[in-house]
Amino acid sequence: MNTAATPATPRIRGFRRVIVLCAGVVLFVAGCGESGTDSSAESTTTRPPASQPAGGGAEGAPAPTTPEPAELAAWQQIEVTDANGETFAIGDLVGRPVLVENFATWCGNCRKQLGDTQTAAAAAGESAVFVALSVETELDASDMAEYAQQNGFTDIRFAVMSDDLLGAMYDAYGNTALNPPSTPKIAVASDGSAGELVTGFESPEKLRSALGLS
Amino acid sequence: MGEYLEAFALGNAAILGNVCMLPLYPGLFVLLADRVEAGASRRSIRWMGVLVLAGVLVAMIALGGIVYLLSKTFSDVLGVLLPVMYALVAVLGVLMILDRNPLGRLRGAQVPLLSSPSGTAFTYGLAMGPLTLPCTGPLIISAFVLGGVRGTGVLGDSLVYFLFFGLGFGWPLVLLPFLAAPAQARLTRFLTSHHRGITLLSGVLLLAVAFIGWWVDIRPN
Repeated sequence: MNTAATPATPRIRGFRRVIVLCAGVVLFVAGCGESGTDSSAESTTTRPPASQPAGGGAEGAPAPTTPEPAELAAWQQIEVTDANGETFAIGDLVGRPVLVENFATWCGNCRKQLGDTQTAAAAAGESAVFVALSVETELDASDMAEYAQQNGFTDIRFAVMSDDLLGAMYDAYGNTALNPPSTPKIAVASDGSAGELVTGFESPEKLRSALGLS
Repeated sequence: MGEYLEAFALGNAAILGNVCMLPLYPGLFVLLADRVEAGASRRSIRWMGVLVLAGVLVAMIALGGIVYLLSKTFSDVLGVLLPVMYALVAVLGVLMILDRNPLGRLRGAQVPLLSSPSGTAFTYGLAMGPLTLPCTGPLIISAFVLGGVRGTGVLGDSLVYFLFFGLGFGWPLVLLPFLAAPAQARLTRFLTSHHRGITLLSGVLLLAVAFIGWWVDIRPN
């Protein structure tokens, strides 16, 4: 069962129905608007990964409540090429905790969060890996490398998602994982088990804590 | 539905954290003031925010589709598009300060779409839509890429998600005219007696928005 990937429904058709629906949503969610200067930081939401064992498939299969340790999700097994031209998959990094952060180069929130991620990564050294994945699948690796260098994100491993990885992320976590302004992040334990999707700004201390670092 | 509500809530959170929607407010205020002064019907005023937001969302989806079809990224496009857009915002601000309101002049346009209040509002949203791309562009592109690898069902799901996100950060635009409509008589009196001050303030706000946009979006890239 994939709770994140709700299929498109013909229910939402027609401008008028959308307006009516959204008016209801506005009334319902109006109280959710944050106050304060750093609203996004307070907007942290979480989404558990949809169960998707290695090999993908299994659509409609019952979801185990707790994923098997070290059983890698499909998205963890898809290879990407980093800014240095090295190919790797998140699953290759088993043995160390990994923070995966999805971003876009023109996204102001992403840049702000990556600044804190860089601080956490610099402090963590070799004890953890911090990976930033561009959701812009057509982004040139050299542009990404330039972006990382210009912003001083020297301790984060940058890579561009492939179309397949984008699809697998969607299957596992839904659209929010591909919404850069919400600064989506996933902490992967050193045994390879992926945690929940977390959104909103996270301080370097919180990021380190999420990875089990002191 | 839960994910759509989440998208709406994330859109709410994006209102204060991003400058993307800022450029739309002074212009909408000017449009609104112009229509109120022109004695437009309460009904047409009420829906102006909805139409501006509809224009913005349509522009974003259209641009996303074009960028996807061209196999480009927004990084390729925004480097050129955003400076031009923010320069236009700055020019609009200067014109307002000089009391030459180009948005008000649209009322006399011979093009039917521009001469009606609703058409002007929608067109204004279309024109300003690209300014919101740093916030929403990647999401739109992802929707089209997902559609390519997972089919039209997923494309539809992702676009609906995007619409809810857009509504989440655009609902104050919708609310503003709804609040203005019932107070139309008082507003008309106020706008008539403070016309110059309002255009001056709107111009200054637009210039400020152009500067903030340059500082936050263009300068770091």
